[in-house]
Amino acid sequence: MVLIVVTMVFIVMRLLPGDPVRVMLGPDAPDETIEALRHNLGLDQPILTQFFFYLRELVSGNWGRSLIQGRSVIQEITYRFPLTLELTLLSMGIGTLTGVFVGTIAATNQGKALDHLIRLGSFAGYSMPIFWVGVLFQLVFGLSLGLLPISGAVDYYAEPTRVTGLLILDSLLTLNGKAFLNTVSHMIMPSMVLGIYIMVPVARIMRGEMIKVLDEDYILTARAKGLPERVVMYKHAFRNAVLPVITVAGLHFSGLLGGAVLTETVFSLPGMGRLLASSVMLRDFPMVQGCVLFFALLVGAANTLVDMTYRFVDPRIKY
Amino acid sequence: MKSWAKYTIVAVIVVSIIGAGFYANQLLSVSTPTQKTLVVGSTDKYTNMDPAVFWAVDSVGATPILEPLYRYALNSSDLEPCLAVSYGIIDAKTYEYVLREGVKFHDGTPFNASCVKWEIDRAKALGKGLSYAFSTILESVEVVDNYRVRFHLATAFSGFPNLLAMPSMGYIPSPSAAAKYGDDFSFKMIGTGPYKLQSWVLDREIIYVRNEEYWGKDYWPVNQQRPDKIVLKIFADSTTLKLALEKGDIDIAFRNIAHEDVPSLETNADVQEMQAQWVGYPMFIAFTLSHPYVNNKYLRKAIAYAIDYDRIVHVALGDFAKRIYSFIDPSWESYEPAWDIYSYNVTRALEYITIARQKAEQAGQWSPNETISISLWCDPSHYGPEIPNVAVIIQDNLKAIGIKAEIRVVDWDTLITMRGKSELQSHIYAWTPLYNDPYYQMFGICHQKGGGASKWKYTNATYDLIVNPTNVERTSELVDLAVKETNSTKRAEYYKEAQRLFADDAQLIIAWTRLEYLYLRKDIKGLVLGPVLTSIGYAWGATYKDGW
Repeated sequence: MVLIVVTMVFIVMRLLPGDPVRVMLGPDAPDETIEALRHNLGLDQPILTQFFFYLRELVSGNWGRSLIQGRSVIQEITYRFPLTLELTLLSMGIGTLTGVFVGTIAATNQGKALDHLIRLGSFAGYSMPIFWVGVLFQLVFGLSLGLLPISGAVDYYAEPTRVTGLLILDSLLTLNGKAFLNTVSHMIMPSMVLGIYIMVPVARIMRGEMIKVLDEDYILTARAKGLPERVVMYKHAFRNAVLPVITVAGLHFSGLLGGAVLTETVFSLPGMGRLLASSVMLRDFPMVQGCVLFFALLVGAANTLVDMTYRFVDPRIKY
Repeated sequence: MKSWAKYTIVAVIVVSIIGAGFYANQLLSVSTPTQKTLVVGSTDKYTNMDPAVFWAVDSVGATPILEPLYRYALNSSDLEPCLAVSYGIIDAKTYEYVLREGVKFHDGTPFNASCVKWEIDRAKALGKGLSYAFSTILESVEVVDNYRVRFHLATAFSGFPNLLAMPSMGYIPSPSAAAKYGDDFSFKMIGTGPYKLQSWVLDREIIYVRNEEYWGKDYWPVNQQRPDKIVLKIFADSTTLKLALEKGDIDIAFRNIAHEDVPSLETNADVQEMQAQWVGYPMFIAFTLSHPYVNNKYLRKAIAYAIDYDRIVHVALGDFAKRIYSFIDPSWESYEPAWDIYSYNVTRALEYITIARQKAEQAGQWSPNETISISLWCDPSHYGPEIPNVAVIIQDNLKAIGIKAEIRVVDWDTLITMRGKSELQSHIYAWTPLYNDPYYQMFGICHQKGGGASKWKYTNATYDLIVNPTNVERTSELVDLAVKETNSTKRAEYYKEAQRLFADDAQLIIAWTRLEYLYLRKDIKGLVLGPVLTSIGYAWGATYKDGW
């Protein structure tokens, strides 16, 4: 699967109109200068030859260098990815927890006004584009109320010492309270904005599953035994209803990575989403190929992790 | 609840309380820096600080750190000594610069003539950035002694000092740093400038810290209250940039506030507006003369008369532009308003359409009632989101004279690639001077061997339906004469005549230039906006806040 993705990206980038060498040299460079640089970069070779060399280098661990910046692709990805991961994980966490909570409330109030309100609000939130919601959050919480920073992941004067690249984790690992507060305050808004897009499907699934589970005979039995409603709900119903939520959350992981591009743009976060978007615009072939390959590996790993999580949630599942 | 769960919860609570108590001071007091810090916001994309590699906006990011031998004064396009104290013209092809003694790079490496030769040789060898401009003009660099360097030109070029003053041509980084940092050199840039590079996180910020050993600190041009630190914060989105300015997260919004966001800034009592004076983008419609219909000069003249320039400036561009009459900047001696012969005049346009049809029919190009159809290409990603609106107005104008224009919107990379292959029948374009001398634009646009003219197929065709061949030959001849002429008045006359002849063929229809505005917090003082864009990086260092 990864090889297919890599091949497709390699070919598509070279079929796209546009010339990275002209971007590097500017539109007024003489043709001979352009051709000389193209030759130096190996871009005048046939596509198959370029692909062969690329695969050969890839296998030996060399993902190439950015045509525009000159930096190693791996170096740039490992530097930028933690922020995207942090944003995605926070969004998943916030979105999933909120979705589960909201879905459960809706299920236990099925047919009542609260249920309708929750469903309506969820769809409304899901329908609004990320960039619009993001700007709205910036206006309200950032500018009007002045509660949260408008952009960025951390202020330059509060950045924690880099250990993992995950800013909040690094601030905890280095016991830096100032950095912790600063990074958390910066990441709240983008995480909430991106989290909406997992909250809604999770809430829907959770609501549906809870309604289904609450109709099961064993729930009736549990109630008949005189168990407190709290125990019925959270020990019996919830654990069975939440299993599909894990699937949904895992499936949306790749979607969140994609949504991170827009979120990173609105909130000016220097993550991989922005890196990929700008690399495509600049026709930075090695960087685009590297980013897409990385994402492909990541999504594969995430899906595997989701499958393994089932084992812990439902002991009946064995591999 | 199982006992292990209870103990776990208790342990977490206890650790949290201890941790919170231990860091109570830090948790409660999120302090901001006490140094004098100027924060500049920009949506420009900075990717490289190596002068041998960059050619565009990156040079602004490098300006606080790097310096040329002569630089542009803050508020004029006059050259002033910088790393050199004087220069002399040995002969038409030889310039000698006397370097400033006692200057050191930020890493302690002494600056001398060898550094100059090293950098220029390196740039030529790399073959990136604007090295091609050097390669065609500069033959070699000679180290005469430790503080004298001689430039031997391949051809006489009276604008050489201006060429050498531009960042891509003349910035001198530290050779020791290049050797030490290798491929990371661009991101660890070391120069001689008033500020040092403290850190650079791509797509986030560049931080400069004051160079306390700066050679020029005793005669810093404006005042001594300059920032200890400058933070160039990168925004991905102009709306976020504007919000950050309103909130006070940044002091200056350098580029680019969207036009629709300007009214709210103008009513904000905490924000002031400054109009940029730098030489801007002369925008025009260009025709590639190997394509049908546009290879008829009478048709091109008809188009030139059909365009409602005022509507473009006022409606499409919201008055963030002004009409211009040449691609040469009006502040330059060689400026000639040659395109003022083309004003919006539908009657005249229709007359030229009639002539165009007659001539085309005689030449067997078009049939009598054939619909004239052209494609108009434009790129909003580089020139601004308003550009398609400009194209719509042009399309509407051309419809009124019976020309069907199809608008094609592409991204920058596609536009320049297709232009490079002469695939664009007509397109909206700009040609900004990369150094403050008319030669760059005159040669590129008008000369038969120029990059622009060759791609637009402005050749000495004998077929005078395309262009006036006399114009083509004479224009090239004038540019060749001007480049060698050391008398500035005579040189200007050559360029002016070339512009008049070139305008007559209407291969380009010069239309407008953008007006750029900067927005800053009301308490920011001292910012000087000169005619050279890259000087802004130097100007930040002379800016201060009330109360500093």
